[in-house]
Amino acid sequence: MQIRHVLAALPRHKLVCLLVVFEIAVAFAILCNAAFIINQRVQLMRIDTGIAEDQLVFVRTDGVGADENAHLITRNLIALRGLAGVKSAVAMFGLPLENMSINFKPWLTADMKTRAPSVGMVAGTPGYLDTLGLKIVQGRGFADADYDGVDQTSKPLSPVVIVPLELAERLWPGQNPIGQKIWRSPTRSYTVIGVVQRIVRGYLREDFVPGYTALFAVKPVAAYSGLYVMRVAPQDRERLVRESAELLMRLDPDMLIDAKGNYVDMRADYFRQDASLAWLLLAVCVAMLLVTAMGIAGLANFWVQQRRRQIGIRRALGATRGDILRYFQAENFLIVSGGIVLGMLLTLALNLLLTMHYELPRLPVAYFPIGAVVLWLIGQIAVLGPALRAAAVPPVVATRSV
Amino acid sequence: MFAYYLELALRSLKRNRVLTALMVMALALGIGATITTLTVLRLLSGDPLPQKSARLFYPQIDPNAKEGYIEGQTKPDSIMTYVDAMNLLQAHRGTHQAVMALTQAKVMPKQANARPFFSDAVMTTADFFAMFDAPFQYGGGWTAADDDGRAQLVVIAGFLNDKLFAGANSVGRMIRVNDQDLRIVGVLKPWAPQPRFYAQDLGGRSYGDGDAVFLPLQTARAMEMGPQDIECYAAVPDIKHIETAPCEWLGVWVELNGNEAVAGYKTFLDGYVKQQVALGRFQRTETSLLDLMGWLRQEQVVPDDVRLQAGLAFGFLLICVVNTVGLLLAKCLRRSGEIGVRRALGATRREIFTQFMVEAGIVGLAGGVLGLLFAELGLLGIRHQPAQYASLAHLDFEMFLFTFVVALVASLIAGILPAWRACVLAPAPQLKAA
Repeated sequence: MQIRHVLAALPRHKLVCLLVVFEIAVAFAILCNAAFIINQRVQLMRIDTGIAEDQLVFVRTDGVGADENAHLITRNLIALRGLAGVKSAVAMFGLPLENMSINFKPWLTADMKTRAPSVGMVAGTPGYLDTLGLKIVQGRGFADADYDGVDQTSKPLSPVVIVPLELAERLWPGQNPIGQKIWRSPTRSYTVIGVVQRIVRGYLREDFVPGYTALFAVKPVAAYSGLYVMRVAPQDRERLVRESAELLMRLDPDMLIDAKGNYVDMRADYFRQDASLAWLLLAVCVAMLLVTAMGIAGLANFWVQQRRRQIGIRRALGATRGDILRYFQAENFLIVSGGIVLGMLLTLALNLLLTMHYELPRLPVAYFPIGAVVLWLIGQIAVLGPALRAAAVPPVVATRSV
Repeated sequence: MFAYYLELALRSLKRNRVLTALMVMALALGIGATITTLTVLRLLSGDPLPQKSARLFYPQIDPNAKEGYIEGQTKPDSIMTYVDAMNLLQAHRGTHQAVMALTQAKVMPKQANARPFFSDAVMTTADFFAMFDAPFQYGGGWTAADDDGRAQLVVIAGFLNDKLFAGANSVGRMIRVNDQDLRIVGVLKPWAPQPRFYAQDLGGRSYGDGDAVFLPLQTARAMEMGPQDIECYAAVPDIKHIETAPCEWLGVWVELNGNEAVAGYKTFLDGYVKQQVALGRFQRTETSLLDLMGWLRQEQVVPDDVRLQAGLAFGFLLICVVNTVGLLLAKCLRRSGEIGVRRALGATRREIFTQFMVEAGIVGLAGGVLGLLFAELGLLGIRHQPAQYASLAHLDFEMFLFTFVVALVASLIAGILPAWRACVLAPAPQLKAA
């Protein structure tokens, strides 16, 4: 009954209706795409690094320089372990999300025929798995005898490797990963001795799987002497960042400290750009919905004023206040629905165009209902005020100014 | 007459303050967002060297193995091996040519208690400064003989000179870089092309303050300074000796004057590659010789995020304009009676149309002023973002003017439909209704 009234009245203000439909359609397209991008970034930012994030602090230096200075690393580590509150200290390379990584594609057979996807290299001095808080879930951890130097291309000499579960399942599905081998060059192979639950690489890229890493055992060497990582209690972090940096500078006045801090901040830093884009998109969406709501409210208000007499007549003929209220709500629902339908077509076309020209992932259709619900709600909220005002029009208006 | 329209428009706008405020606000938000993102987009896609970019060319060749090669489709690599870069440099086929790589220089200040610090450095060859029009404050560059002789010298940027020597003429003085004393031969005036086109694929960032230290490639390599980025296309026996390793780590730029020179160089490059294929060094024959802007386009130097933001901002502006159309239309329909009276008293359709366009224009101008404020706020926000280009985001005079152009055009477009509806209204029925 209501719908018939609404449909009958709609063609009387075609142009304005079409404008609102178009506005809703564009808003829908932007909303869906923005929600999709925000969700992608948030997923990215919530990545599980697999390490004891809240207990780690680090100092990044320019390293000890030449190979003959490698003994300075051991000296620095002993000094750092002497600081009150430092549970363990290691030199390492490949701290998750440290914004750099060494990646390689290992071969899975000695004849160099089968190649694995790109793997991020993690290497550290004795005890680094414990410092990071990595748990061995299969096989064994590194023994002291496993730690060795590096060759001229900075590849570890130690012939053993530990991999995360995710990589083990990808490389040897359904098999026992312990004892399997990977090759980094025809002459350099590594045997898997253990599996850890998870650790992600130092730098993420779209074509990299974050959790594909390989952990190597190196003794203190100049090539990996830049990054000192310490395990401390969360409340000691700030103090120990300061003290460890001061200690290292005292030990070597020429040492250059590139960066220092606690791991949680470093991780947040890594995602700062993603976070700011997500916030920006959110702000644009809110502003856009606000503008749309204001526009709908303004037009609805205008329609109510324009139809005061008709409303009065309907009220005089027996329509209740609720009938009038629902009339405007139904009208708004219909117009917004039209906008949503057009918006879906627009979004699909836009997305198709974008995926053809850029390497963008396709927008999942699951975002359509979300966008639709949001716009319906916005429409209903915007129309509520004018609709209530319409419902308040007294029937006596019908008798005036004929 | 215009003054009369102005008065009418102002009176009409004043009559419904809330609606007017709504329109101005919406338009201002859209314009603010658009101008903010356009400023960033313009900043990022600008010509880093307008007076010279058409004469600078970036040769590319491809030393990779045959596997995966599709003739005519596979793009050549973006950087070069030492052997190829030196061959092209020594061929002297351009007006100027230079090879370059980025590195980090550990600078040790002479003052007591001062800590050493890292500076962005360029390892390059003699023509670099003349070819890129890098302006000198003091002294000058070095010669090809200095390149060959591994001369212990360096050119530093003005900001490093300010930091180390308080801006004084430091030519002839020494600076300690990576535990070696180098003699300063030149100090640059502020010079930071945006983007840093010459190092686009050599690692590091594309935007920012510019490099601090410039030193001869051979000198730097003798000091064991390594490149920021290195790509190897075959198994590497020894990563320390990258001059002989199958690794790419250098960029080559050539200055060529005139189409003939460009065509000549392309022929030379193709010939060089064919020669290398004949020698068995190369398997692929693809070459490329893009000019500066072409190279930046191919590299897609403008981040995808920025494009996305710009697209979004335009969509937002579209919504705001449509919104304004709707509200203006509503207003104009409400004033049918007034229009009827004016028409009956002799106003032509053109006059009614103009009157409504003036009203839309005023909304646009107000939206522009407020939008400018929003844009400044937006840019303030951008400057606090963690992006490389953050500190460069400022509204210049052209964008300032452009804001008003956008605002006026947007509001006039929004005004056309309502104004048209108003002027085609037949006066008689309106008068009767009133």
